[in-house]
Amino acid sequence: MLRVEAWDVHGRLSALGVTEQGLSDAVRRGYLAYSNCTANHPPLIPAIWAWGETVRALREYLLPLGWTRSDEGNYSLVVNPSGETAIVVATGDEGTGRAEASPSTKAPKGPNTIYAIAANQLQLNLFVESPPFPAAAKPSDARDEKVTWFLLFHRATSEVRCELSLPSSIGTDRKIDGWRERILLGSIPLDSNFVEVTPPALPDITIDVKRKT
Amino acid sequence: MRDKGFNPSRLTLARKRRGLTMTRLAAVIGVELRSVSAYEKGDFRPDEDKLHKLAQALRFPEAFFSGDDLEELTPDSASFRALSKMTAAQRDTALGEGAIALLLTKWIEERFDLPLASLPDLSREVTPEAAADHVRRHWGLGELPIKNMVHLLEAKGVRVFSLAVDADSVDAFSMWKENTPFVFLNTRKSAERSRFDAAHELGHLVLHRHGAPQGQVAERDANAFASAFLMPRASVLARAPRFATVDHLIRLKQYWTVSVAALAYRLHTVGLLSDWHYRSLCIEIASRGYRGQEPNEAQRETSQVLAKVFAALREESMSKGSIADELCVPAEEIEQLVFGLALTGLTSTSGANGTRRRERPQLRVVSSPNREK
Repeated sequence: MLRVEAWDVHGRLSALGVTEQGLSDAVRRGYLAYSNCTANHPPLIPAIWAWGETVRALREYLLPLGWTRSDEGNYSLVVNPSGETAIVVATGDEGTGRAEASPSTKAPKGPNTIYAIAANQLQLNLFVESPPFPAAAKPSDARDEKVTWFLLFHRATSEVRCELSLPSSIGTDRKIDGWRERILLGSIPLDSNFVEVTPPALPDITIDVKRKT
Repeated sequence: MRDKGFNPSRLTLARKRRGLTMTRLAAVIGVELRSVSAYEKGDFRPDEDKLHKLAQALRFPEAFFSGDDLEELTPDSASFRALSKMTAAQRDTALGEGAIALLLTKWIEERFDLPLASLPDLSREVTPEAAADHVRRHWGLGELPIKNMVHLLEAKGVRVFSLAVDADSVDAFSMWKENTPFVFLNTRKSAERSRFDAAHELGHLVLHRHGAPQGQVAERDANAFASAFLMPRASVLARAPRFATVDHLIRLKQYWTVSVAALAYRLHTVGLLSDWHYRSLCIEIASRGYRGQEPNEAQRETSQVLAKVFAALREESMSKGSIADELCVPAEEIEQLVFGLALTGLTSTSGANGTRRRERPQLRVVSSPNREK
């Protein structure tokens, strides 16, 4: 299911207990952290900071609303007050935020994501003919009690696109390849790096200084 | 100007200019404190030997100590920005420089016609932002950036001088002397900071001519005035960043020739940045050291009036020494007031053509050693 229209997006988000503003502010903060990196930072850092700052901002936004933070198994989530819904932050590919595309996570995901998606399948009673994960990876702990949504964001040249989406399957390349539901958030426009700022050509002021006679 | 009598007010000025207390001066010249105190009160005069010692200790020519009364500038007659972190001695040093600027201005005005003051009195204006708009309308500036703050002030009759004091103590100050406004700028700041200081002092001149709000309130008002004057709201809205990053602000600031910190502040004031966004930018600006070292610094502004005055005097073969001699002050005192530029040219004996002095690259080269002090 794809939600694009503003009324639909807002209605669904509010049922989940979040707002579009709150989510996109978290993504903005992540982008600002990304933009603060310089060529002297190790190349991996900007993306990590963007992710880390988005997680922090999301938690700073939701914890006062009764959500809790969970880093169990080093999987950084924010969990709603009933414990039934969690949000995880991930970088998406260029399909992120585009209705006509099906996005995937940018990087292959680890066992935590595989568990989370398995839990989603169980919680949502999705019919799965053959689970895409080995039996050993089957969820066995409390994580299977909740549904995990992904706050996906993708930095394009002139905007950051984002969506809050519920994954339902993950491919053998360990990238998410199926979504039960996608809620597209408004894209965040960026300034071009190539804008030349030139002050207008203004005349010089000429001050009259006259020698007294 | 020079009658032969010893003038106590001149001793006080010279002492304060050097940042000395009476006690310290007494110790330096080897007399009792009460002697110095008596000299300054005019109870009795230093003898020839003491006068010589005073002159040496204070690095002023003996002739300086006789002559007309000098106006002593008092702290409440001038606007001081960094009031809280300034010591009395630092303040007196700056005020002493101001007093010498008055001397120099008088000397120049006896010989040259300079623009008369054309500043609206806005002490009744409701907000600093409205006052800044008012001044822009009064001067017909529209929404355009200010190309050169010093030239603009000078064209509107403000006498602008440079301040050669420790940059951490005094940013700038301004005052009204009868109907003439004065602005003193510390030239050891970045060009952008100095432009902001100039606009800030303009704010004091139009908002606080009658000395109404004091201290923190006055400072906040002058800052808000400067911010709005240099970056008018509509012009900022028209160039609103889609997503403000520090790197983008570094490019954007060139439009108004302001510091990256001043631009971030203004974007927040006009409502283009949320609180957290502004806070993050501030942290990043500070962590990159931009508060101390402005990125992509603009070209420094200098006085056009002084450059023209000195160019004209040079054609009359008036030397640096002769102006200082006429004022009975050390040549360095004059040099510190004039952005380190104009008088240096006077020492050159080659008959170089005066207009060259006005070319920007010339001025910049001449002024740069001063910045490195």
